[in-house]
Amino acid sequence: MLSKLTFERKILKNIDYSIILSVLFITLSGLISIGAATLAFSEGNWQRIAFQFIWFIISSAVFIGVILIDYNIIGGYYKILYIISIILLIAVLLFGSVRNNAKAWLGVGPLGIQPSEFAKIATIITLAKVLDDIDNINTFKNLSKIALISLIPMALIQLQPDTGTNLIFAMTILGMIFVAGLDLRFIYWSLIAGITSFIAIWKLNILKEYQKNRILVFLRPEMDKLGAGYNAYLAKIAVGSGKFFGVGLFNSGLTDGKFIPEAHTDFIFCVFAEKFGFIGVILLFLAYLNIILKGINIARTSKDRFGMFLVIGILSMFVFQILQNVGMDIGLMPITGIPLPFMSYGGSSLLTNMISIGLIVNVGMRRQKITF
Amino acid sequence: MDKKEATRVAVFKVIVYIIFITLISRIFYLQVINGEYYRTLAEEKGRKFINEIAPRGEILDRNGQKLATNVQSFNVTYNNVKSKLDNDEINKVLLETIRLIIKNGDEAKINTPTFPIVYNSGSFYFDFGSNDYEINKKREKKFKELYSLNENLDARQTFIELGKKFDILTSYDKNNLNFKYNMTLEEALRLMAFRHMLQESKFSQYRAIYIAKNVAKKTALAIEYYRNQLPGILTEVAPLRKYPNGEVGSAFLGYIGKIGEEEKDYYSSLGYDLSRELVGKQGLEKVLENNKELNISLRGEPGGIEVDVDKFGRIIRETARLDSVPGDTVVTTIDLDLQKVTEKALDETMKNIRTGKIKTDAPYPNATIGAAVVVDVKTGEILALASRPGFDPNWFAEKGSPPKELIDYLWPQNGVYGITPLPTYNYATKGAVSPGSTFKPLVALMGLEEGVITPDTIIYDKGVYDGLPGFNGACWIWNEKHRTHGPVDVAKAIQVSCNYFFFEVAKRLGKEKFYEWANKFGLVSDPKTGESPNTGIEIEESPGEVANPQKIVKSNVDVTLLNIRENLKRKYGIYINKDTAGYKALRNMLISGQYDENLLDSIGILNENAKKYIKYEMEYLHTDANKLYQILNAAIGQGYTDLTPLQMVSYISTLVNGGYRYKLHLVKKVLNPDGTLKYENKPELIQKIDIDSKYIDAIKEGMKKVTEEGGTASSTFRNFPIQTGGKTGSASVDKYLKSKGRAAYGWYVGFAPYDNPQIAVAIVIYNAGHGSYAAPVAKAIYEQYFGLNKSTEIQKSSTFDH
Repeated sequence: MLSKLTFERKILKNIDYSIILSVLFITLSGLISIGAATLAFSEGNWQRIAFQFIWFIISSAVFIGVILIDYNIIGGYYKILYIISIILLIAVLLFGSVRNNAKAWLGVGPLGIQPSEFAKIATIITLAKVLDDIDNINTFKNLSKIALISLIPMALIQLQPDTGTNLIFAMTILGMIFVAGLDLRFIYWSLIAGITSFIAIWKLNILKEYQKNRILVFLRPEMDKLGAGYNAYLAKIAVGSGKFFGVGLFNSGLTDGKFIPEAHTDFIFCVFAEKFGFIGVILLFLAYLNIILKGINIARTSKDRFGMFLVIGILSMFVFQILQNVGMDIGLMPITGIPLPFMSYGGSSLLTNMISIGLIVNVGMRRQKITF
Repeated sequence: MDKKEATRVAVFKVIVYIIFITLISRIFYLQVINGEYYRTLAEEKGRKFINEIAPRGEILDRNGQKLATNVQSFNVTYNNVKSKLDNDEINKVLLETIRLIIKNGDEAKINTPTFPIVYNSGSFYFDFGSNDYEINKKREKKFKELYSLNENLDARQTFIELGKKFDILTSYDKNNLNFKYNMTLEEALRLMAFRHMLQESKFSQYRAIYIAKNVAKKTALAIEYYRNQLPGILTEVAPLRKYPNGEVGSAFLGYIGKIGEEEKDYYSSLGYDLSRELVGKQGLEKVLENNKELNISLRGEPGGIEVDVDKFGRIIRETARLDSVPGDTVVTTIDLDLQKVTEKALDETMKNIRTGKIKTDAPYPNATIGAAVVVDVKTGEILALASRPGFDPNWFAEKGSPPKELIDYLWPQNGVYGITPLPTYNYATKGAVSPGSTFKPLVALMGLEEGVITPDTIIYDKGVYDGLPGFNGACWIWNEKHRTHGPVDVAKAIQVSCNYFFFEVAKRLGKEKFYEWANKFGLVSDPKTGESPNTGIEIEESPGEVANPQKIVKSNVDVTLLNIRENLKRKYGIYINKDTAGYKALRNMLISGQYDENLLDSIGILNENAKKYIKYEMEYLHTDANKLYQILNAAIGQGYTDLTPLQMVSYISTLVNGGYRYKLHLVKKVLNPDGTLKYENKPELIQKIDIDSKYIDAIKEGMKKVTEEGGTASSTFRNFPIQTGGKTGSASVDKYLKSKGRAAYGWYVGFAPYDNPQIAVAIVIYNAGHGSYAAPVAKAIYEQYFGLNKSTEIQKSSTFDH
């Protein structure tokens, strides 16, 4: 066992430190924004910011653990990881606590965890492993296998229900199989199927009333400024009110007035954009882009296909979470409860993201030697 | 990684770029391009201002005596923001506060929030405050939705549900309701009303609600004493509007009240606190409330604290504090002592007329309404303005609405027009009625100025006027005693009020000259522009007019229309139902006088004869209104001639001061809160009318004779130490009105002193029977103004002459 943990010191210099710096920058922005949203600076409510910081320390430790172990060793345990995540998803349905209309939490308070977050990682690892094994994805057998692996956790998540997480799940998997060479016909077909099933879901009342409302309001935000559309409407005002330089961290705005619910979690981007303005948003996006573009490079130069699929899966997850989370604050996407990576308050999410980034760095530092 | 995968990764990279470019473009649009707009929106959302109402500006009389001022009052408020009590604790605090207030004898001061459940003689009812069933239904639905109640619940069930919700009820069955804390049913209802008020203001919790207003100091101290047991309850010291003279001056002072539904948008745009501020509803209180044009604000600038609030309206932090600026002090032209005398004289004179003290053989029991105005003829300053009966503005000042038991008195629902007084109606500025003979001096002036008569012209009164075929007006002396005045000159004509003389003058003048002169004096719309007359007074007035043909048409159109409809039905079988579009179109056509055949076709009148008939009726309506006889009637102040006492005093003042028509005004000057002068109202001319002084003298001479032996007001002014001039007017009412108890309007207009007039008066008493009966009011005014005798006892007149 121990021998597996030892690694060549020289691979340390293969670590992309700019990714780590970007993560640090984003997490720090997140901590400050959480502080603003929970009135830490004006009223001394340091509790949330403190919890998040503790989670950050824990996550950082886990991150170091993740990069120390060769990702192929981690990948070797994919079956166990997958099964554990499924068990946790079942456990949450049985013993979980309800927050915001969804039974998504195990444990209480700041120590509660969201198994669906870990399920994402477990599923990405599993799928990357499966995709690595198969030569041609475009066979019925292979596609069925992928579908089965994906749909089991998704079905369990839908039971919570957490449509938002499933959306990301779907996009992540789509990203992976797209890169794996999925025939574009399938994408067209699934688009058609998707639209059809959306209509069916709508008609069959599978979506909860509030979810329907959110979608309706997204399509016609002027419909109801005091009801479900109110959050979307206020979020947009909050972002816009940041102007170029922001209102400033210690100046009050909409986001610290409880006008926006869950400002420290789902709507954290509002807080940041309001306080730091367009200039802050540019810096934040540069940090995100750095992680993603460097990540794509890592995927391309990965020494094996497993590493590539793993990185692409994680990047898909990040990209669509950013798109969804930021998009809902600026009226481009419907309102869902999806956290913004490294920014939103929440231990499970931060931990998952740090593991994910650990895996990317892991693949990167063990890439093929490029000799010139 | 194979080639296909490499391509796919490249595509993935492109997608990433597209996503980020999309996001950043959208954010650029929101933050950089539209940032200013969203910044403003955001600030409006989260920032609130809690008004600290400024002391309202004082209103003083010309000598600095207070007409309206402010006193310190104590209010009891409740706010659940800081204490964050639960259901039961709120009940306890509110109930104990209410009990404490009642114990200290201030039950009447407790606020009565609007609450739709009432309990009356054993049963619960809904009262949603409207007479309209549909509106009530809507309100009931909204009310029940607020508490997510089944909409079929009756009043008692609703009460029970709310009782449970607010934790007031302990147990209940079919017959009994048991409440916590030994509450009686009344207490429970009252508590529930306050809970409802809190519920309704859920989203503006930074504002406190009123539990009681203007409680006694003792009550306030008692509450302060128990303050620790009453978290959330506060006593605040606030200015309360006070009118030290009670009813005196209510006609021009007006009153303040709650901001009405229809005023909400206006006052909200001016930053008023709609739920707490009281605004002027009438008189000076209304027009000077926040008058941008005159730059006068009785309201002042409220101070207060600016706070950031969360979406529930709870205060997060205080961001700024602003001291209030008291309202402007307004010094009026009114002489308080003269005002008091005027009102008292009016009241007593009306009483004397009613009880027969003036004319013992025939009392006029319905002399219930009176108005009087006194002006300074050299400036247009209004020295006194009374409309009786009035009201005490203090009734409104406390809660913004009068006590329930006074509502029937203030706004009578069933009354006889002209007999049942409307205390809040300003008869001096809005009551336009026929002026009768008081109008005659002006006709005399017109005749002299236009040269149709001279001071020496003699006209023979022959009883029935024979100068205009088809017109058969007669002199009053002919009607009453079958006598004539014989030969009269202008002074005599005024003295004896000879109708015949003025018929002749009006006929000689013709319509054009008649309207031209009436317009100069502000008694008819401008014949050229159609602009309505006004006296210039700051407060609301609705001036009347002298035989304005358009008004005559409007007065007669409905009778004409009735005839037309009858005839169409009878002769042509055409039905035009009232209030249909066709009816309205036809009515508008009749008023306009423009014959429109297409219109008649469109409303189904196709018969040629019917059309001709309508055209004939329409033309008749207009010709009649424009006929010469209309101004003959107007010349004696009858027919379609209605003027307000304010207009009358303006014309007398203008006549006796040599033709200077001043803007009548109530505001003399405005003082800043620190007492320095902000603005002084200088006499302002509306128009200088060129009048030959010898004609003025001739008319004044006639008006002086009215007060001398043989004149219609001689009995009142017998042995009066100052020479004055005047004119009585008895504008009769028709037989129908007489049968309802109405009698002639008694008018008296006058000026004093005769040689160098200083003041002019106009007085009207409804159903007085005769103008001379109103003259004692003028006498009392003169006595006060000239300081003749301190006794204001009104002389009883035993005899009376015309």
